[in-house]
Amino acid sequence: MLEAVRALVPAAQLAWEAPMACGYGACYGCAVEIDGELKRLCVEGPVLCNS
Amino acid sequence: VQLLNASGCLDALTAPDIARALDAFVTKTITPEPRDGNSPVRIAETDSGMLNAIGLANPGRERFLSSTLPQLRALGVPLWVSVGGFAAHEYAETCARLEGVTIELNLSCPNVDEAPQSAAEIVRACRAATTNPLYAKVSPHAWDMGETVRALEAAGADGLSMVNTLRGAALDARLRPKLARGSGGYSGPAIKPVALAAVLAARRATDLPIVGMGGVTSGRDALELIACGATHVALGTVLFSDPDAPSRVHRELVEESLQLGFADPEGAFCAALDPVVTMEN
Repeated sequence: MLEAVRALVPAAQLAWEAPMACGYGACYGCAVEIDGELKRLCVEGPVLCNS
Repeated sequence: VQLLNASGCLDALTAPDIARALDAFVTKTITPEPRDGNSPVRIAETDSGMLNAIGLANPGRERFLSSTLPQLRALGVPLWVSVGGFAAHEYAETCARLEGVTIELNLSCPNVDEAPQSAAEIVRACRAATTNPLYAKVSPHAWDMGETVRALEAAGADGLSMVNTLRGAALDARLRPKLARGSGGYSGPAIKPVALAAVLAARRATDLPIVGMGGVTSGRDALELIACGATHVALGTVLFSDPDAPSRVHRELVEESLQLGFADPEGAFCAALDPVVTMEN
């Protein structure tokens, strides 16, 4: 669904979800791939601006 | 008995207080080149544990040496650097650049496709490249742990770390793997019996120091690893659910030892082995 919204509204701020282990950037578990770049949701998100 | 973290389960720069509660901090594995790691989804919760397939995400050797390592040194905690690679010379080149740290060779990451050279070959190359303390991190999948351990010792390892994660998989409601990679490393309370058996077998084969790890959540768990022959204990998955685990496990370890009639945790060293042997140092 987030991908569909992203396509419709390129500048949307979207709240992403991923299983998360440590919650502070240590384990790299909650990374999501956005435009080919991996973002750790716990420290870089969970709301990411799509630009 | 020193308490450490398992590699990849703690970031000392963002959580310095947790790192300072440990006797030494072990870094996430460093490879020669930077790595983004595997595609998400990378972790999944399971009964009594978790799966991860991070894939050795790290900034690479050069950035680690120029940026991360100096910051870690400033914390004042003894450092262990986890070294990874895909050929013996890659491991050795990183070892040659490290000073004043203990080196743990990650010989057993379950989350990369490239098969490493034989563990003993890698240890031999690294031994020639460094005089720093050299620990070999062992896979629990070794068929004959005694033979593996003797080969690593003969190759020049100063100590052993065991166990790394076991390979595991979990499926979602639609019967598809939860991890994008399909399988990953299984850790948490479920693997403690595997860790205990591995340490027991290794202790029967060697007098080298052993960092015992795998499913430790309490002082009792740590004491069991010591009883099987571990000289150090590392905390892994528990750090994700209880960041206070280092000080708690330290405290519980002392209490449990006293309750069992040992003057200190070292008193339980090799209690599970027969005949009884004594701890060096």
